[in-house]
Amino acid sequence: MSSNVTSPSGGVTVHCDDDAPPVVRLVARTLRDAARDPELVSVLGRIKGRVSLRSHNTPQRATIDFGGREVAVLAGAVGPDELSLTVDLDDRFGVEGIDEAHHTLGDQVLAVLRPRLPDWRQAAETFWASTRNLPGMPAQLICICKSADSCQEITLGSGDSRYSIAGSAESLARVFSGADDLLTKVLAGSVEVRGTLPQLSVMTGASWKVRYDV
Amino acid sequence: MSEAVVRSLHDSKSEVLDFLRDREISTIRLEATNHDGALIGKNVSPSKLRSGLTSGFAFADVAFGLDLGNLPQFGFAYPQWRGNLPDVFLRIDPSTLVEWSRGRASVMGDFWLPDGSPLPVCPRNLLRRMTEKLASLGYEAKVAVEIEATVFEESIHVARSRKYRDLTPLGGSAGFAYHVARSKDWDDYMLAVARRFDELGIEWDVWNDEAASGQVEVNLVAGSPMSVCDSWARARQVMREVAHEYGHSVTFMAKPTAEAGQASHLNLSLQRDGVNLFYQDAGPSPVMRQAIGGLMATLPGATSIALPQITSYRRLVSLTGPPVTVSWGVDNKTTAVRAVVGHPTYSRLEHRLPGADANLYLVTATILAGIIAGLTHELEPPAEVTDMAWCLPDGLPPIPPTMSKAADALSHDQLLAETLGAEFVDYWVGTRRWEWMQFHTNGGDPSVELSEWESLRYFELP
Repeated sequence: MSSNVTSPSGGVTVHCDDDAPPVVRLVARTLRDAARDPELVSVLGRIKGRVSLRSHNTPQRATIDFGGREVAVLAGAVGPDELSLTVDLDDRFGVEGIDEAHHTLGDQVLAVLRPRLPDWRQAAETFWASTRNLPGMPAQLICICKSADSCQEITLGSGDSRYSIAGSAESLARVFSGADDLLTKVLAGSVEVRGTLPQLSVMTGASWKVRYDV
Repeated sequence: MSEAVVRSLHDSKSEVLDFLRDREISTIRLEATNHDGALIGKNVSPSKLRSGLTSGFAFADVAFGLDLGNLPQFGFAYPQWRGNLPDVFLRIDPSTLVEWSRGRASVMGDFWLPDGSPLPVCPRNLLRRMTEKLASLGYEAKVAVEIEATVFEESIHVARSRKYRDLTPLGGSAGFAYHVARSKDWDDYMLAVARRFDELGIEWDVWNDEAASGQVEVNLVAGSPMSVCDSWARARQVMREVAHEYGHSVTFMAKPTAEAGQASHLNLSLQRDGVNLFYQDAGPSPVMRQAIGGLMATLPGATSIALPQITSYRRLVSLTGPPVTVSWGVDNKTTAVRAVVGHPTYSRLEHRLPGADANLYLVTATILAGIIAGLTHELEPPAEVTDMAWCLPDGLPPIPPTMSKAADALSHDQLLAETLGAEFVDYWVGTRRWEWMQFHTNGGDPSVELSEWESLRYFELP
């Protein structure tokens, strides 16, 4: 297997194939984020065994081989597993329940698949840093956090072309961290945008980059 | 738009109007192809046609921006001509005007921008640009296409109700390629198709049974790239219409069942003053060798255009017909490019990679681009493959086996970007990445032989 290996984070390396499908990329990217979290890296490093994931509403499947400091994410269902989870890929790997016999392993796996969301501002800055140089990106990204009684705004970059994304603190954090897909959330009405259709295309690609590392 | 084109259209205007009047035409179908090879257009009245003869007919820019599920393609940087659904304009090519049926004419066209420049991603314009580049080097291409399709007994309405699955191949499931004793219903269908071709002036050479159940092959007469591609687009429409008339359904999907795939092999030679420059007494001529060199150098990237859809890649199975390696060989149909040599007329290259689902304008443009690169840079081909180019233990580079790998190969292909233009290459790659994402995240299943998502998306279109 040719590997897409990023530098070890906290001593844990997550492998996936260069030509992996989106679900594998999503899982691998999420686990790499967990490996960068000081509270989660030790959890990640302790998990041993094979866990299979399946999407609750599409045929997407992935298998995670947890091996302590080495984690491999594979496409499809690969061999016998210790635990099988049906997850909502559009809701941060939400599951309906884990049977009692697998509670410990299940809790650990879900903990690393659902790392703490960053603050929306931090998420926006990280998003901007990794996507600002993509072809066609606007020169300026305006992030608007709306709550019941306030509205806060940050502006990233500078220049003539602008794009705005507005939503709740959680919605923004989810989109900017890659937990959610931007286009899906725009279509669902969870975030609102101001800009041109071509800009929406570029921003969709930027969202894929942070969500799927593609 | 160039002055020459404006003059040509002005001169043709009266001929067009006479044509419509003399045949009592009440509806004219304007035709073009989108990137997925689907026939797109509008039906206009004679007065509307008159009004748009010079200025063209407006289409929203998403004529080249919608996927086969009717969703806008997102995820990549658009070129300048894309915006908040501005118009692009289809200008007709009067030389393609035909009486399609009583009271109805059809005419092909290509797309232009409001400022009069050709839309760079329009398949017909792209092909024209490649033939002009080839001409600037002193060559003309002569091409021929083999159209493969699968015909089913059931009507398209029944096929739709069954989600295009579990259909009955016309002519039965027993047999093999070249079988001429198929049941009469198969024969009747193909005879009707050939009659319509004759009525419309679509010149054909051969039709025959192909390898899979219900599969047919039609060979169009060789000609200029543009005329053959125009005939290709219309031939497929004829096959659909005749299927409908006879209560059958037809598909150009790359692999409509688990049984076998289907292709659009393209045969090509380079000519100068009527002389075939691929000919020499023995072996490939120097011009042919450079053409092969260019094709081999660009084959990984060209794969993305020759195999445009998810299902396209399911054809790539050794021993089933399609090539699986970046390879060429004299009289070797197991390679990607077969060289036919030693004949002053028939010496040619046969490109065996393109699928039945590929847009022939784009495929031909890409193949010409590879040849142009080979001629321009005097590229020598790799060693000829004389063995079977399937099931090899090592030694030959594989054709990119997935849509994502092919898109990556194209995005890194400097020769194709230089010749086809970076704008088209980037745009195409962006649309393939969107298709890849749609398949994986919206119901496609890579773990089965053929997922329902693919049947629903690719059977009727392209």
